[in-house]
Amino acid sequence: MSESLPAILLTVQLALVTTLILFVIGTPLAWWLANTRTRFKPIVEAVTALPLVLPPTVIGFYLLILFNPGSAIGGLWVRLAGDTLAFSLSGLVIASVIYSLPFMVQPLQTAFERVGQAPRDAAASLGASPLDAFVSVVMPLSLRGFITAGGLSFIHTVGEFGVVLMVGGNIPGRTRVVSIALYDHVETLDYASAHALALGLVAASLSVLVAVFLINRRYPVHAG
Amino acid sequence: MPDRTLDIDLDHRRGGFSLTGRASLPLSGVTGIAGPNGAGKTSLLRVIAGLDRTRGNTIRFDSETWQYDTAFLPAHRRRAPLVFQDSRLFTHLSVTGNLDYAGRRAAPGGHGPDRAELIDLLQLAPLMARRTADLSGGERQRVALGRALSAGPRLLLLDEAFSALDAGFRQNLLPVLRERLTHWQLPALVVSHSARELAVMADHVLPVENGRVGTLCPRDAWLAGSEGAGDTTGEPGAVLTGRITGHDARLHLTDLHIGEHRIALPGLTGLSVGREARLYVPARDITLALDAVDGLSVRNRLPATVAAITDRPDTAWCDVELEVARQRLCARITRAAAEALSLKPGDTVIALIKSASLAPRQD
Repeated sequence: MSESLPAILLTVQLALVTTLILFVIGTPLAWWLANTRTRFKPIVEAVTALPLVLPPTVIGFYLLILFNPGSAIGGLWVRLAGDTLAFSLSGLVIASVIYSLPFMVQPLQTAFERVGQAPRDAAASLGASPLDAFVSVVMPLSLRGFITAGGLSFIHTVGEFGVVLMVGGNIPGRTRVVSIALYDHVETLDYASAHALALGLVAASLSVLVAVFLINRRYPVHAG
Repeated sequence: MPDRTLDIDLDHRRGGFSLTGRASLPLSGVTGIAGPNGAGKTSLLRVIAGLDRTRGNTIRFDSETWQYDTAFLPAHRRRAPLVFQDSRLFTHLSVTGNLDYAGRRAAPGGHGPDRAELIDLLQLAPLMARRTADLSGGERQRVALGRALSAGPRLLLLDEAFSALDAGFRQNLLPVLRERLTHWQLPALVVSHSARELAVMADHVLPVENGRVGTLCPRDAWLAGSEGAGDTTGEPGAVLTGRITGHDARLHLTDLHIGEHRIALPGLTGLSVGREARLYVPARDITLALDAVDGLSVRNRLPATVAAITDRPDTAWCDVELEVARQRLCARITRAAAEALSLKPGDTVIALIKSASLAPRQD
């Protein structure tokens, strides 16, 4: 088990950073989707949902090409950070953000749509600016959406495999996450270690999901 | 500052709905907004509150432009809180939290009560720690009103804000609230379908019908006009002015003199003797008798002279205009009854008043 520790720590680190970045990116995106009247909305929604249906290898393949130091983005990153995006933790974070985006955006969008215009009108009428109203009214009323989105994004990132394999490879201590370590154990017929990791993933995923559902029960829908 | 006005010039078209017309509303006292359902009363308040950005409307608050062409002052900077028909309390906050929410955002220079006065006026003390989800409709309306008054308002917008209050509480609150609004120098626009509410609250009434803003008229004229109260609310009535002359603690009645005639009304014990008071008497709550009748539960009887009788075509009703102590009263009775009594102008009758609401004078 001790040899698995670096993979576990790396996985948790990756999932935490990814979830935090997704909160920052996903909240405004979900807010925009919940409120926009543009006719391009279905297109943006479809692009956001695309990682749900695409094979992870497809996402991983395109990201790998994008991360290539010869490409514009990959090259810029090398010049700025002094390291390549491919086969690095930074590359894994970017890949995970894209891969888990729908798990952040969709619960938030649903929550924002459920809150609706009425409490925002009330807040504005009482002197709250739109940003103030978002923080003081919409966010608390969307608490369930934030809990669901955060929990799902975290655990979905923990469970990813294909994208990581394509973009990050399998570098111990650098890009080898739990799901890939498990794959290695199976390849080398080390079933004992594979069992330990597999069971650990099941337990971790179940715990997070139970926690999400429990917390959502404790905080019933406020809006309405 | 008697000359301050809220000027509106509306050319509001959205989907199949339009709201047009212009009016200049006094920024003092209470202006009622009356009209049938779907006429545009709520839309008018939303435009004034800044919750509807539809182009084509012009709103000027005294010397401030709130909306003109592309210029638009956002709702949160107008300090004109709207009390919504459905209250819209913040469900993630307690009652205290809702009041604090408004209080923290109140800008200096607004008008309104302090917290203690507010709690007393709206009887909020037992509600303060409660969750908003557990409140009844009437309790929600009280909190919503309190929240708007906590926001440091310069103009109060009320959209059927008293509809869920229980009748006894409303009867007590409206005259007192009316008086406090004057005291705070806080102008208010009150949307109501109840002529009774407007009679008690409003100084002027702006009729809105079919998406058209009508002509502002003094309340008494609106109540009397068949085009106003009668047709839009189905509840015509008239206002009688009298003086409070005493309270009967045992019977919980308040004596009121109209001219030399005395009537007694319940539920007004909070008002001091000697004050002048306005009574709103709905036309349907008046029964006419040719002679003094005994053995009736209706105790308020005023001698009156028939001034005019107006048939209401295609209905069973007619409106009898009466003169009582040099004041005007309107009774709605069936045509059959009018014919049976062979009423004609100049006849002397007894007006039996079943109920009335009180509106204190504002001065």
